[in-house]
Amino acid sequence: MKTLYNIRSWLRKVLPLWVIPIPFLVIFFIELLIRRSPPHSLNRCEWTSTQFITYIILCGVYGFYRILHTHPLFNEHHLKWLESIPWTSRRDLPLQPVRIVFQDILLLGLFELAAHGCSMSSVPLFRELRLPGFVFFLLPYLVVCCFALFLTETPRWGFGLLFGFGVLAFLGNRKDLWLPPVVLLYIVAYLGLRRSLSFFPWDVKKYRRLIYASMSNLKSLPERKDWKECVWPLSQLRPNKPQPVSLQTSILVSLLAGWYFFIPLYHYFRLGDIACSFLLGGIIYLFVVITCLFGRLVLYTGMINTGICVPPMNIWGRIFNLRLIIPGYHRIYLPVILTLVTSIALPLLLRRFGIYRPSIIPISATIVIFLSLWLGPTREKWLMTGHYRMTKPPKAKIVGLLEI
Amino acid sequence: MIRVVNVTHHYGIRPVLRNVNLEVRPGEMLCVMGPNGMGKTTLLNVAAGILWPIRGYTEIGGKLRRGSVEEEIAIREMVFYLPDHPWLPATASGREYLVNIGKIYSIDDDRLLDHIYRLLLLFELAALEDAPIASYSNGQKKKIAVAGALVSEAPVMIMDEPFSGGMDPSALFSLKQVMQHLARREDVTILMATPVPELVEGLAHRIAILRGGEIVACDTPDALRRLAGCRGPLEEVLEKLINPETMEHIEEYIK
Repeated sequence: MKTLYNIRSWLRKVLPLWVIPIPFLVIFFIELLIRRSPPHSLNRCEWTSTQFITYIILCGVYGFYRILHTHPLFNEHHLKWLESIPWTSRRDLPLQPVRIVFQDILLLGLFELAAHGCSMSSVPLFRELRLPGFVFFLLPYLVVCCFALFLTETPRWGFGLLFGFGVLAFLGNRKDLWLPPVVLLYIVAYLGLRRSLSFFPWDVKKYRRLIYASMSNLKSLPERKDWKECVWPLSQLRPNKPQPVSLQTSILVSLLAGWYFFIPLYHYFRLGDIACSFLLGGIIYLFVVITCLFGRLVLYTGMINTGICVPPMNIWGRIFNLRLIIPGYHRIYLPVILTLVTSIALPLLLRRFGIYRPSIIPISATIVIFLSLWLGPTREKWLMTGHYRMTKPPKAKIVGLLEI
Repeated sequence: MIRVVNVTHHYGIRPVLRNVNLEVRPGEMLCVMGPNGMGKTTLLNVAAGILWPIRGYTEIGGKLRRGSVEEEIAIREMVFYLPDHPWLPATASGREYLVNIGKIYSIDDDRLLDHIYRLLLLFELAALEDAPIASYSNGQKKKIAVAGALVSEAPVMIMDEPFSGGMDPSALFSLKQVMQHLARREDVTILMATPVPELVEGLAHRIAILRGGEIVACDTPDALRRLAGCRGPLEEVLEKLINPETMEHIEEYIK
């Protein structure tokens, strides 16, 4: 009796006990329907597909549940409780383990075994994918984990996972090769989780949008997030600390973008659809260049919060005073011009050097994105030191502001 | 504390400020006065960091305005700028607005709530503290904007016409008393622009007179009286200095 109790509490660490039989019952129920259908009937094929899809969905839901239910970031009560106890990352999480444990492997293994005995094992994708249950359990787990890593001060590990998802997309039709990268990605996620837990307690207020902070014996105070509630000119003149895009982030973001651009181009090129590959590459590149240039200009000269940064003197003043260019203001156009020149010259140069064709656009896009992110001055530095004039935003009444 | 050095600015072709030099000492209240359209708001905008002048620069607390990120942050932490026409959030209540400003300036929560309570009483806004600002009258909006400046407890305040905007006599009196209290304190430096001389009498330590984009005089009220050769009220002294021909126009009209 005691052993049974121990097994129950051991399993309860990953799933509520009443949930465990449900996926088995669902799969077996569909199996029963399949077996009762006449052989080679259309109905039987439909039920087989339904069974396989159900199987995959159940594994995926389990993956989502495991991370969403156990990661403290997604449960405010859990987070607050952890903050209030002397827990450190040197020990496991006290309630439920966020990492994959033996119970998960046991349950997924049993489910996999049950699946093998069912009709869905005749589905080609089931045979092609090795351990499909594990793969479809880990994929949602890893996606949520990646999101959590970005929010819990370990973005580098998050980037690692994003690069890894690209590998899965790159493998594309070779689904038989998916299992090793997925397992490798789990190892990355596990190490990232350990790292992020070592930074606990995390500064997640900006994400959780806590509007009111409770204070003893005092009425509640709105959080500092409501900068725009102070509007002109305080929103623009607030003493905020700049958070520039670091060199590391610029490199990682641009490489990631280049990697994701390369994947579809490579597939089209490999399939011999060169015209489609070039068309897609051209569209992607145009989109990247326009977004980078326009985005940078808007960020620097257009709407900044609710204000607009304009040259200190209007165009007529600049013409008549022979000060068409104001160096302190117009320096922001230099990176834009440099990025534009690079975006035109680089693909031509790469082509001239005989670089592998599907990689020309991704390499160019990577460098254009990197330049637009990294070339100074950063937006924050510009806001603090730029020689511009702040003007009131237009149509203020639309966004609920009052001028007095 | 505030140094405006050799500032010249054009918005367009005509210069608005010409080689303006101004220094506000720590703990001093300096009032900029002058006719309309002579560059008072532009001068305050330059000091407040809204505007980068074509020539010259501003220093606050020995730090160069927009000189570097660190200097600018340090300046922003100690300066509050109240423009002539600030924009207020329509849907937020007056109390929420003041709390937000206090949070921006990192005021201790207990002190902040107590200060807000006293300010709302001072400006007779206690009954409206939780009503959206959109429902306030123009005068009440001006009051809450001024209260925002006071709640910041910033050591440097730059205020553009704080007494205008339809405030009732009671609020004007209250504000004048509070400003006098601030003027007596040695830890608050105020640069203010106002066209109303009566309100400045007994308030400002020094008065800077701006005419045609240039500072024509900057001294204590008594020194300005000597300069103008007039012992009358400050209004008359300023008229003589700013618009010497006004008195002649008045006499000619009455005659």
